[in-house]
Amino acid sequence: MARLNASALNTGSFPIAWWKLLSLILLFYTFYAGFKGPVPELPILHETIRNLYFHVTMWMAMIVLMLSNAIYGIRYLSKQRMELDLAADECARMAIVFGIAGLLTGMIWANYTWGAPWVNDPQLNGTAATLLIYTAYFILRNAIPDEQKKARLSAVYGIFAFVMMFVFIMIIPKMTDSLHPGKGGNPGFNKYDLDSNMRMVFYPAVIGWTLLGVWMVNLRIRLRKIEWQRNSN
Amino acid sequence: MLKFLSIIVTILFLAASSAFSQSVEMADSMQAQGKINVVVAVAFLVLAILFAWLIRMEFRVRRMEKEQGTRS
Repeated sequence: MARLNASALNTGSFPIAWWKLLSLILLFYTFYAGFKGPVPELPILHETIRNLYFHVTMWMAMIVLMLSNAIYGIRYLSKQRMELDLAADECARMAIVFGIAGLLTGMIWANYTWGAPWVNDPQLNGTAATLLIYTAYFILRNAIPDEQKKARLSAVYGIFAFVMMFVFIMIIPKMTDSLHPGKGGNPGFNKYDLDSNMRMVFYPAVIGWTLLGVWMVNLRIRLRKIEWQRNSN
Repeated sequence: MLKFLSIIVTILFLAASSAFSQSVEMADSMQAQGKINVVVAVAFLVLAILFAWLIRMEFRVRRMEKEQGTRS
C-alpha cells in the first residue's frame, strides 16, 4: 500500500525529464538545419561536409559515455555500491554502440572523399584500438565470476581505458600527420575548418546526440537495476 | 431545398473558380531546392519513430519501477 501511495504522488509531475525533451528538440533541429542550412562550398567535400552533424557527433557522444563510465568506476571504488558498477557497464556498452556507428559512418564518408573506406590514418587506427580496449573491458567482466572482484577490477580498468582512449584519439593523431582536419599540429575547429553557420548546427547536434545516448543509457541502467533487485530479493 | 441549392451553387462556384484559375496547385514546397525537403521529411519520420519508441520505453520502465517500489 505504501508503494501505491508513493507512486500516486508521482503522477502529477510531467513524466519525461527536461533534458530528454531537449534531446528531441535539438535532434529535430539538427536534421532540419543539417540538411537545409548553408554550408561552405569546398572541393572534394561538397555536400558531404554535412556529415559533420551526423558522424563527428557520434564520437562526441561516445567520449561522453566513456567519461561517464570512468566516473561511475571512480564512484564505485569509493562507495562500493553495485548499482554504480551496473551503470558503468551500461555506459561502456552504449559507448561501443556509438563508436561502431562512428566507425561505419566514417567509412562511408572516407570512401567518397579519401577514396577508400579505411586509410592508414592515426585517427582511424586510434579509434579502432580504443574500441578493442573497450571490448576487452567486457571480456574482463565476463571472466570474473565474483561480483565484488569483477566490479572493482573493471572500475580500475575503465579508468585506465578512458586515459588510453584520450591518448589514442585526442593526442597521438595531433602529433602525427592525419587526414582529419585539425590534426598534424593544427588546432581544430578554427575559422578555416568550421564557419559560423555550421557551428550553429554542430554544437546543438553534439548536445542532442549526446543527450540521446545518455537517455538510452538511462533506460538501460534503470532496467538493469530492476533486474538486479528482483534477483537479489 | 434552399439549403441544398445553396450547396450546389457553392460547389459550382468553387469548381468554376478553380477551373479558371491559371496556376495549378502542386506540392511546390516539396519540390523546391532539388527535393531536399523530401529527405528532410524522411529523416523526420525516422526520428519521430525513434523518439516514439524511446518515450514508450520510458513509460514502461517507469511503470516497472513503480511496481518494484523503487523510484530512484
